[in-house]
Amino acid sequence: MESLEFSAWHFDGLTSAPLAVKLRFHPQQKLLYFQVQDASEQQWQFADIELQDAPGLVELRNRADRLAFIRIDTTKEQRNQIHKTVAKNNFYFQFRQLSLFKVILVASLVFLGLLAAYLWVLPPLAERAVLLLPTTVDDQIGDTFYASFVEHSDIDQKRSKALNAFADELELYNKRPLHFNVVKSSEVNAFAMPNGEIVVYTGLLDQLDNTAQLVALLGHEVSHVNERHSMRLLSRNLAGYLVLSLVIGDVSGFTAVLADNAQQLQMLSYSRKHEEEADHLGLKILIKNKQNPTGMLELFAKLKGSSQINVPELLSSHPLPTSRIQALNKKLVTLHYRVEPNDKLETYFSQLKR
Amino acid sequence: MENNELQAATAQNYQLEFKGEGSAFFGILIVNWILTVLTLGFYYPWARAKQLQYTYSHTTLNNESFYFSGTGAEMFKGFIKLIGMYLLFMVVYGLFVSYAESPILAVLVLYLCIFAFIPLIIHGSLRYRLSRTSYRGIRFGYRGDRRELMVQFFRDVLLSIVTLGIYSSWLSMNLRSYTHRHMRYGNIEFSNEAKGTDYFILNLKGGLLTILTLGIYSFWWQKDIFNYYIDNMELKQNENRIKMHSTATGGAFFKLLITNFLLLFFTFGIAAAWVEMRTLRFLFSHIQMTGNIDLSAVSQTEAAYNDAFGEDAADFFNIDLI
Repeated sequence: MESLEFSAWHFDGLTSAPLAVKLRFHPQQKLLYFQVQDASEQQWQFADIELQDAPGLVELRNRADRLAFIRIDTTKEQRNQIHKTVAKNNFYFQFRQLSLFKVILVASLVFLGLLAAYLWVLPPLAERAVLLLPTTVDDQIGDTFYASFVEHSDIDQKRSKALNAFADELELYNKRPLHFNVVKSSEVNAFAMPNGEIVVYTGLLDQLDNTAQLVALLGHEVSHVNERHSMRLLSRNLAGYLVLSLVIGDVSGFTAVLADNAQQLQMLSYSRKHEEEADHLGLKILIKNKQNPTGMLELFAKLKGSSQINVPELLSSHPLPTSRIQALNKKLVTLHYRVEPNDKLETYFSQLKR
Repeated sequence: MENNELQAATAQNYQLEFKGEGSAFFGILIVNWILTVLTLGFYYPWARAKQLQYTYSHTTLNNESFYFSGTGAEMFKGFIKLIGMYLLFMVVYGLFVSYAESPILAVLVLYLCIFAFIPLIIHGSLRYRLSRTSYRGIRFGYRGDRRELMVQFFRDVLLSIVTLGIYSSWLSMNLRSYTHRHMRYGNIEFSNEAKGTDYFILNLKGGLLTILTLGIYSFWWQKDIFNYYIDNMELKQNENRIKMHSTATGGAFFKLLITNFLLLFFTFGIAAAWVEMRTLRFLFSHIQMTGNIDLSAVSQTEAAYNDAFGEDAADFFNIDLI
């Protein structure tokens, strides 16, 4: 490719007077040479050149100092020729020349990337973030919920006392104080609050036949508390809203969602992963306390049995109790355990059963 | 260049034109819009830079185009500062709401804060925008004094409040004339002779006649305002002058604004790009310049100024300056 030559005008950025220049584009050297009258020859690298078109002319600027410029009066063909020559080695220029289609394509990819991050990266990150939160936050949220829960519930004080005594005899791996509540209700259910308050409905309690089943139930619920599952779930739910509200600029919306979620703590459904984790940790607690691990399976059978009539919330979250039972069965085969009778537990259990 | 002195005495020809095309501008706007949405708003400063670059480069004086050298990156920094300021405002506001006796006080304080920033925004915006504007390789510039502007602005605002808004005509003309008097193009100085009294009478007449003619006079009122703005502008370089003069008529304004309205209405706003282009074409084509300043004999005097905070803030609060 031979070099292109033009007569042009140079505005040097010192005065507004145009100075006549001879231009030479040198494609091999990727340089533009120009000489103003008697001054010495200057050169610009193609990579530094910014081109701007106007009807009948092209303006060339050096990105290092964009004040001075060279104006070439051109025909359309000459202009295309200049563009082609310079653009070959000018990433910036090539970028600017991208077609609308490519721009939209790239932007869409960026958007999809952001969306993917929002859907799949943000939730696990939010869960991790909970580990950084002090447990006092769990307490505050739990306390708020507990206060309103107690108001609307009929707590069986006597049986609650027996349940707490029962739990005191167990190793539950808890890192915080736990408190157990027996609530009079036909619901076949139990749940845990992040502050360590655990609620068991009489509807479920009455169906249990032995200490192992109760230990399995408590072990499962306590594990939700120990692993801060409900906090993780809250954080997961809220992270999305937080990002959205930042983008939209509506922080009050975020607060509303926070309040809404805290109010519905009971309704929150854990992820399947969390349920399985609680199952396995519950199993560990059963073995540690020398209870028969099959208690967990028996518990499931009871929950499943009752689900025909009224889906208990403990299971409703993930309609796969069969797969959870299978997973437990598999695990049970590999475990070594020893079962020992525990008189104290039996005593408290009989008090609970009345 | 040797015959500068000789040329200086003789009258010169000036032709101001706007050559932007609706279709090209629409292309820029649509890409900007898509990118801004897809990047959740972060592209906005770059979008704005692109838009300004287009309109500047398609404005020509004697067939030489203006140039906007501001970049998206500069404006992005200003944008970040603006967000910081906005958050600060919100925090202050929040504190007032929580601790103050009445929420009315909090709202009042918030507005006072924003209000106090207006002259700062005007100052910053003019400095940035003008220092990034060049023509024939020579920068524009703003040499106004921030404190002077603030004193004048707050004095006028106070007077406007006391006079129940009547003084606002003087406020806007004083502001206009102050900022214009401190604008430069290289060693050319701007001046502006706009007076509050004239402007007040103009608006009084315009307002009354608009009511009497059920709105029809508003186009002539618009013309009067535009012409008053332009006719009071002057450029001077030593002994030489350029006078600005508007040739716009009420009828022409009527045609422009009605067509704009119909275009927007029947295209559901899609024609906004074309409307903006034809409006600029209209305005520039009606500005006449007469005088004897040689546009080839301007020397560089203004320094670069790269803080775009004022520019972004002016855009945010919708303050239109030039």
